[in-house]
Amino acid sequence: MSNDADAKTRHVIELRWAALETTARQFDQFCEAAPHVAALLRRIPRERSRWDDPANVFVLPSDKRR
Amino acid sequence: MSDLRHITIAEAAALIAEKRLSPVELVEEKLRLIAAIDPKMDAFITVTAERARAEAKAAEAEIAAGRYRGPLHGIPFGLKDIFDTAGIRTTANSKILIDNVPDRDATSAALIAKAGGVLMGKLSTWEFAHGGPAFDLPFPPTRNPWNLAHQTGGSSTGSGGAVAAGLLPGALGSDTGGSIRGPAALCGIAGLKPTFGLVSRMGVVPNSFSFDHVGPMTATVEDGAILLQAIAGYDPADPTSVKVAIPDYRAALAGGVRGLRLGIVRHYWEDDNPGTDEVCAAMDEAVRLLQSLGAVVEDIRMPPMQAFYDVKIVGAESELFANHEKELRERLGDFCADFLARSLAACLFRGVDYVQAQRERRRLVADMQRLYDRYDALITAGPPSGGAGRLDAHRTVAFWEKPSWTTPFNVTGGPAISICNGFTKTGLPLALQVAGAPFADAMVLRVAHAYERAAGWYTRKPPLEADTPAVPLKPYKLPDRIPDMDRATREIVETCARNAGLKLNEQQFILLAEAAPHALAMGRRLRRHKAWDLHPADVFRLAPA
Repeated sequence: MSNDADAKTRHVIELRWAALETTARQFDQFCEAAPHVAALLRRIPRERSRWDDPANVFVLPSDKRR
Repeated sequence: MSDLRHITIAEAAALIAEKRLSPVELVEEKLRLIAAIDPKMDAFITVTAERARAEAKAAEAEIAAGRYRGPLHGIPFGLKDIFDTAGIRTTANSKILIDNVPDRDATSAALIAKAGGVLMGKLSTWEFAHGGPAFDLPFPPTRNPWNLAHQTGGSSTGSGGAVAAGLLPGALGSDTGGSIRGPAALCGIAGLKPTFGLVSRMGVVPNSFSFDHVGPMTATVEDGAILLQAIAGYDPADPTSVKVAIPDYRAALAGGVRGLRLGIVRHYWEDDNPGTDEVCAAMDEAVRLLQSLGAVVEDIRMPPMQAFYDVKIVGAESELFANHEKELRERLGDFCADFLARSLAACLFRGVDYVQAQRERRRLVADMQRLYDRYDALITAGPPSGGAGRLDAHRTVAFWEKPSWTTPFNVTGGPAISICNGFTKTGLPLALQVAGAPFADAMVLRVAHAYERAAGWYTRKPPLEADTPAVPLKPYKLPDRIPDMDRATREIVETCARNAGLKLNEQQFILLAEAAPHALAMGRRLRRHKAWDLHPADVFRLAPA
């Protein structure tokens, strides 16, 4: 299979994984966006200290503090 | 072996305060016990003998000079080997951190040292407080002092084993899904998971940012209260830490249970994850005892155990995977198989699943309020299997098959303690849990203490001695074939692993494939429709100036 065919096969599986059913046009849109999404994900910094907490950590609501 | 073997913190502290027991004498005896007994059970990764001797001498001199600091002054303690200790290796029992020597102390470790505690060493753990028991780690699995062929539960394996065996009077562990309460239950000691945010996580190698708790593991509830007193409190270095008034936990123990309303979460051990006959009988007896002490008991229903487990696993495994993403991509073979059997399946969770899990967590936390309003504490069972399983019978997929009895309270964030409530016919400890509303730690300790003293199980000690014969064990078998799965599922698993940058050999793929149906089902269950305004439990908010 060509790279394009590989990518399309992968996208079919990804959509199935997300339980999404698409029309042909929606599938084309998904395929068009996919490389940009992949690039975006690659740009998110991943070389982090293990001590870096996320910005959205769980904190108990203040009204539960007795 | 000696009177000092099973001396509690409270007893030793009273003697030390009256200068009838020297910290040097106590530490030397504990070092002797460690040298004689630990080779049978492998609770320690590092023994800090020289440092302990120096600290004991310093404590003795301070006390002699009239500068007694309180009930931890001169008391030996240990730390799970995920707590940073300046100048002492902190391995997390992983090849990844095998040469890691921190330059700082974890906040909780520093607080015990400030209270005069004497660090005896670093205690064994499942890999990164997660994967285990395992025979393919740098350090061997801890054996249960009640029966050396059996495991201690995890992940705070060494803390549970060492305290139960009388090698230490107390230790710190961590609890992301039950890692304090599990080993406490299987070793017959008291293990407290305090309220989330009450004890700093700073300097404790993270398992999961949203679910990690630090807490005490001790022979008695009273000793747990003493350790909690030293480590509870706000720490600006931990973004989950909360500013609350810290009560006198030890003083609160005296209240008893007369007149208290206790909610009995019977469906957890009878239906959600059914216990053995021995577990059910021990729970019935415990409820009867609490009633006879004057408590008002009433059967109640919490949300299903599986609902809590879905939230915890999707949330925690996603966070764990993010924290180890680089090593999972580049050094996969350096992790033990059990760690991979748990963590690889996080590649099957989508960002959407993580958010849905956090939204469900907020709903579950809110739902518990109706119980907190009506009951002073909740009572439920310990491990449904009863006693600890054999180390060589462990199955890596077991993590996924049934919801955990401990995990609901990691999700609620409220305090929960495991204490002994009997023994199996084969002589292994059984356990019950007392849980409560967030920051009701004093109440949970009070109820647990009242039960513990009335039941008296805490006085029974393991038979392990220096001359107990060693028990050679072969490692448990890993799965060796890909489980049956339809082509569509297999394609999803292969694609997700590739997208996550994982390069799996056949054995590693088998571990992922075994977990996959369970993980995918969790994601599906979390997708059911939620109200538009149901926010995640971990919303972003700016820190106040």
